[in-house]
Amino acid sequence: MKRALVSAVVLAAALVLQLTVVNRLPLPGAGAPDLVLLAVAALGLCSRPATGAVTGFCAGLCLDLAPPGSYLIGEYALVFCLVGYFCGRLSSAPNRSALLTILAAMGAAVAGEALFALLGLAVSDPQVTWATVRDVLPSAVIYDVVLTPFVLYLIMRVVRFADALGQAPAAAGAADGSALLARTQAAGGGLPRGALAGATVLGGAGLLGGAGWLAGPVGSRGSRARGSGSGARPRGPRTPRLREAAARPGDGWVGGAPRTGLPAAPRLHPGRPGRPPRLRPGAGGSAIARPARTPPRSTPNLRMGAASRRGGNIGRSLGTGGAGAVPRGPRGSGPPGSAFRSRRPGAPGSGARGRPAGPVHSPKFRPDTRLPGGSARAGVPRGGPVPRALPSRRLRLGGRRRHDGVLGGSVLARRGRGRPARAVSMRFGPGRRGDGAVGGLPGGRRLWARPRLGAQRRAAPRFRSGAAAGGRSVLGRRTRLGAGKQARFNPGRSSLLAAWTGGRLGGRSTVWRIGSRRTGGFR
Amino acid sequence: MHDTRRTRVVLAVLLIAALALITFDYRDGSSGPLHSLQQVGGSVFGGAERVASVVTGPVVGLVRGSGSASTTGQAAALQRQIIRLRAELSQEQLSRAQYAQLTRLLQLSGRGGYRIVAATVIAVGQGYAQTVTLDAGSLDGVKPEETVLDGQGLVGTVTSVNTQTCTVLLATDATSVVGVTLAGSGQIGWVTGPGKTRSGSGMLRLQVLDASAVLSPGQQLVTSASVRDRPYVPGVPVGVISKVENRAGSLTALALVRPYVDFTSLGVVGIVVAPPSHNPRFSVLPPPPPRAKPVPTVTVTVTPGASPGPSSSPTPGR
Repeated sequence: MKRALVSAVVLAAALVLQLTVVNRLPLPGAGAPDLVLLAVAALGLCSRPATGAVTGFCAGLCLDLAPPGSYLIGEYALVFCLVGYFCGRLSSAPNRSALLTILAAMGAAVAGEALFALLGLAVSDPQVTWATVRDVLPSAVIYDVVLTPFVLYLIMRVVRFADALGQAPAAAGAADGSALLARTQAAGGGLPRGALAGATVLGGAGLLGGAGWLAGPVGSRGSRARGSGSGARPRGPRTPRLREAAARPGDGWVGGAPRTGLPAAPRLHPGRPGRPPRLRPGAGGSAIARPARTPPRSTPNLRMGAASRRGGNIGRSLGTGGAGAVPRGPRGSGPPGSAFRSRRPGAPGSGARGRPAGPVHSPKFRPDTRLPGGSARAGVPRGGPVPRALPSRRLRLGGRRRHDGVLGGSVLARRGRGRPARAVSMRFGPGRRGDGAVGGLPGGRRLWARPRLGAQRRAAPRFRSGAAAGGRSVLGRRTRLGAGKQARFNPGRSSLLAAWTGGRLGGRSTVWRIGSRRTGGFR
Repeated sequence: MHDTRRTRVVLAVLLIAALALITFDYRDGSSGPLHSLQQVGGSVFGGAERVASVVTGPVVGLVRGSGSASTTGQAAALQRQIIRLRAELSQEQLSRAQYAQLTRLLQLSGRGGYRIVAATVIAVGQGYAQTVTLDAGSLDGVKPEETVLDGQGLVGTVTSVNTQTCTVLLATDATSVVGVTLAGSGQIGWVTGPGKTRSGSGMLRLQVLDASAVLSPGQQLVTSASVRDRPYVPGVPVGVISKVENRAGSLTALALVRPYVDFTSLGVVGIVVAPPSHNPRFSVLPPPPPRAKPVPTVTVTVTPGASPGPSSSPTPGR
């Protein structure tokens, strides 16, 4: 609701500015930048496809109806609806970095302009002819591309601010990241002072991401709190730049959920040989792996993008060598790494710190050496020998794929693959569906096992939120996991369209629901 | 990818809705339920634009004042100045007409006799259209298909009217067709807009019905009379022919017309709400440029052998 209000305000401002200022400016060239298009693209990149489509449609309709509109009603609505939808699609793309986001917005702007010209030609609008398109389109595209980063930054700032606005009064005892860390500290004998930066960041993760892993379980239903430290420390003035998405129920922890009075992470269905769950950075001790060993070393890297579903996350960096050798910068003096901030090495809060080598500008995954927990250095292989399916689940640092495996520890690095102890990254962003817990996960080993047959068409166990599941998390979704209900599995039919498109269209993938009325079946 | 089935359903519904809107608007034109929707949207966004233009107007004026001076070349500036000087008379008359509107002494003053509601451009159309929004609406007595003119000449015609705003189709729009009369010869033709071009204020295209009409650069155009003076009142200066395109075999004579009005810097315009009771013809045109007067030559023909007084009166003796 709040997001809708923000979107409406942003779009109205963009529309009025566009019509009263931008179009009147004597810009060289025939075209002019389209602020509304850029706003739709930016808002779409902050939301989901359906929301983006609705946003774009409404914005386009308003632009059609606003007074000097001289096209057919619905042209802009059509174009902007598509733009918003595909921006929403891109927003959930895996491994999204700031640069990719900007490029996506630029591409959306270019595509929107071209699509509108094409639509005008298609409906034989007398104003849109080849001659005018030749004159107008290039300059308009250039203006749009030039303006895209600024508009994107501005709108994302506004959206973030608005998201954080209503949640400022944190409920006492709120189950958020900072509280968690504080409690973990209290339980684990206290972490050094250096961990507080992590507390901030974790709190921030809760702030923006909705602390979904905590929002899931039952005890935290009323907690719409964000990461102001209810026990750890007052929240810093800067908020981490994270993706504004709610965590999903079912988010789990790497290294096991903390035991100190916190509700356990939702459990995956043990018998389901689905895709491995996603892991979240854990602060507590692991159920299986060892408890925390070292204080955090550096501020983590945050990234604006969200990981994809089933994206793997690593509990902590592998090996101590790389993590220990990381030069340490001033701590806590700045916000965590921002997607839009220049990443100078050594800058406060710069995201480039945790990575020993590599391009400093790439906003990719970087190891987080700060958080305790996780079993990255666990000498004991957990869960027995590594299955042979593991080589297909590579540990990637940069461009991850969708079905990357989960590394809970050094199992892969030491035994299975023999890879060098490369630093792997953790994710602070909100989790998605299917995130699971590793370490404390019962039957966790089975999660590693890749199903051999028919695996491509089967979805991971998904914990549905929303009305069906009756759950909502902090940002609008709380989860109530139904006790004792079993997820069932129903292999869906695959339509012809799904067969043609490889499942991208028309697929009726199977859905797992826990606590849902509709167990099994289609989504 | 959160591309669930519900998402796809939402997208499909929205796309179908947009296509349906396009179709209905294409069929109905300015009637039907879409028209009322447009009225509502127009009043809402028009009010917002009115409010916003209070703030943004000075900003735009500031930017435009510095921007136009720096971007346009000297030649173009001089050319505009020439045109402005040419239209000086018309400007004076029209401003006098505006003043007269304010003092309710309209019909008697001004040779054109236009009754004008002064309005300000508050918004400019988006994309490929050449439309503007004025801050005068039906509350001010504006009705569709009324002529909008500037201090320099013809601006366009009102296409749609809301309560407080109205939309003007500029004469340079690709869909605009203005019937004109050549000032010198009285030839009848029409002028079409170039659409949105790179140069901003493009040249209008003149076509004269008489294929054998002799067009020459410098000829001035005024609007010709329309039925019930809609959409254009007669006698408004349109532009001056700047280039003649002679095409062999074409049915009409073609020329490019430079408009008097600078469409990129529209500010205060006037909407003719009461056309003149009589056609002012060419009386509001700017004065034609002074031509070089031909030097009179005297030719004396002397025929040898003839009597010096051939034109003398016949002798009374014959």
